Amino acid sequence: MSDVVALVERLYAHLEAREGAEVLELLHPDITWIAPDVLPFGGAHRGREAAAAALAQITELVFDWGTNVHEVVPFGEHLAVAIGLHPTATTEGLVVDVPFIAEWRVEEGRVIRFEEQLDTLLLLRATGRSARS
Amino acid sequence: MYADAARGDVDAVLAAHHPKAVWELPPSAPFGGVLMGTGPLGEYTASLFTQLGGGLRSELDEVHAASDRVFVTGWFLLGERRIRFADLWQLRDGQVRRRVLATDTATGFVELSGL
Repeated sequence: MSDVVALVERLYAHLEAREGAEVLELLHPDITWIAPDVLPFGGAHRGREAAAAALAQITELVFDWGTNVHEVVPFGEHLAVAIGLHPTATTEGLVVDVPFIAEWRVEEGRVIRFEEQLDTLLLLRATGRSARS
Repeated sequence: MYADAARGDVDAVLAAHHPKAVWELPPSAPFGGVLMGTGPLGEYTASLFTQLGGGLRSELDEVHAASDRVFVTGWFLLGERRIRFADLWQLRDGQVRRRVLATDTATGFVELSGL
């Protein structure tokens, strides 16, 4: 397994376990963390603290949020792409699977850039949120 | 394929696909979900192009290839709107076998989805 894939898999394991300190340890101090602008936690968050705040916002705004990673595909030594589903609790108490593609770039053994694309309409409807304008 | 899609050329898009190719599209996109085979893919693509007025224009940001995969990021261009997307393609023997697309459906496809 490539180093970049191992790092991304370790990150997802820590995210799933809600191990925030371990997650932060794997982020580069100059990380850019990007989520779709329309989401409440959307935009480009620069720096480890900003990324941590974005992660905390996800937990706060989305009642229950998980990650089932189906595959992590390496593209060279510095880029890996993960695909999978975010099981998300709806306001009606159901769970919907929100598909995602996440791009992880690694520098000096830590994540320097993260960008995720996902079915934003499905997520907003599930959680009863409005799109951020 | 993105250039073929911009021209609305369904046959050219399909020509690059294996007969049993699978597209995994965002559930909230128009006709979203999983499509298998060039028949359903052709119907979907033709219908989408019609709704969009002839084709789906895009601006590619990055293209990465490794082994049998190609990863593309960019923007779909719908009128004034730019909709971010990520595409992961899997190929074998020069043909597309699987495509996974994720895109910002809330920005791009609310009207088209009919929701």
